[in-house]
Amino acid sequence: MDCRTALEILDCEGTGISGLPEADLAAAEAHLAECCRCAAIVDNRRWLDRKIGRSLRTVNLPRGGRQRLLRQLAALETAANTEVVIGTGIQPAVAPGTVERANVVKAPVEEPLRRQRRMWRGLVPVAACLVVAAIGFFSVIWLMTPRWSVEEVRLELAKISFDSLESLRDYNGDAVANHLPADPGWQKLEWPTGKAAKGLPDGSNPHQFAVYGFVIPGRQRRPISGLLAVIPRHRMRAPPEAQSLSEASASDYLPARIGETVSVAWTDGDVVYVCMVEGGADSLDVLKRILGAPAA
Amino acid sequence: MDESRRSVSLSELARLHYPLVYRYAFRLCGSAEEAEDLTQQAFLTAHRRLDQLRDRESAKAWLCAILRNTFLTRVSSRRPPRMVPLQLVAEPADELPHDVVVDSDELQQVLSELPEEFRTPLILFYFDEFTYREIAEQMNVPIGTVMSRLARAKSYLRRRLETMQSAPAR
Repeated sequence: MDCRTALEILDCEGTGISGLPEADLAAAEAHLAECCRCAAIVDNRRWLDRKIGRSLRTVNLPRGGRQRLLRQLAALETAANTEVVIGTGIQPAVAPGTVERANVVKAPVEEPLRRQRRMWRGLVPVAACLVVAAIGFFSVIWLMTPRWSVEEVRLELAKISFDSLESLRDYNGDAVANHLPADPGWQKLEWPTGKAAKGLPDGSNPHQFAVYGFVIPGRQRRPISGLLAVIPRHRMRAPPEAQSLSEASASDYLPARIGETVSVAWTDGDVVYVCMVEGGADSLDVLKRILGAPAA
Repeated sequence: MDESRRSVSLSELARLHYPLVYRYAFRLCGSAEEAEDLTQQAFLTAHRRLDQLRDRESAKAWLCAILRNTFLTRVSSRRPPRMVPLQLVAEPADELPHDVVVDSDELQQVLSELPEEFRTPLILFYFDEFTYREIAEQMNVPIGTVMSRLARAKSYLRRRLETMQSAPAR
């Protein structure tokens, strides 16, 4: 037998559990007795094998690991009454109520740590998808929410008269628009339909903005009718830059149910006001004069 | 009744074989945390399949086979680690010096470099618990394949230990 074959056989023989054919082992041993170099190599390898084996088997067991496992198995065995006769696979008879008891006992058995970690890792993309979906959903809602221009509000106001204002439902939209301007001058006007806000557009629910009808009283001239729309600022596409009625410039005349009109719009905090008065620039001057005058 | 066929519970097997199964798990995966998890999973699987156990004496090999299958199932879902092609491993020098130190961590590092089909027979060989036939049955390969893989794995191990010994300490 040559050196290589002998070394291969004896390397496999190692700890004496190889189960190699006796004849091969005997031939390898015979070669070893004659070859000093192979004898030294085999001796060195066996010495190294013992050293590696000792090191490989030296693994510290986790503190309490066996007890944790035994507790789990005990719970499972109690639950399922799984003791079987080895080799027969015979399960003991199931007593009445065993299934119910199994469910009760199985519940506290810990899931393996790995499965739990995998479950949490699996939830990360789900959570990310939910966040993206939520952002998308609210973006769509925001985009689909009606936005108004001053011109569109004016057109809505042009459709109504004091009679039709009376028949409108009370305003049920954003509460921020449910009040008159804070300027006390507005209290000097007459409010023929009362100071309760009506809602526009009529078919919307909730309403997009509130509307009030007023009359500018006069002794030497005829009274001037007017409408005041109050719109939440976030419902406007481009809120007016003017901060008050006195700053606002009049827009073009618009024929409306209350007659030929002129209108102004301004932004005040969270709301936008669009005021439409019957007549022309003179009517607007009258309104500004009354509002600017000290309250009675 | 034959002693090997008497009634047995998995708790009893766990008390007997937990150290071996855990050490095997640790040497396969190289992590204490994962080894405990693997061991736990293997025993839970064994609990479900206890009726497959043929006889009491084969329980140790049966548990190790379940542990290995659990490990393989788990690693198959991961990206395969970078492993050395054993065909390219050179034969080691004839002898290693007798003052060579076999450090457990270095040993684990070398084990982790080996493909699983070479690592498993090496671990089981050095555990000194199983014959080649039992290792072959656990791995479901012929005995000759086990011996061939073991020879190459041992050769690689010796070579790497030699390299580690000769490398300057960092």
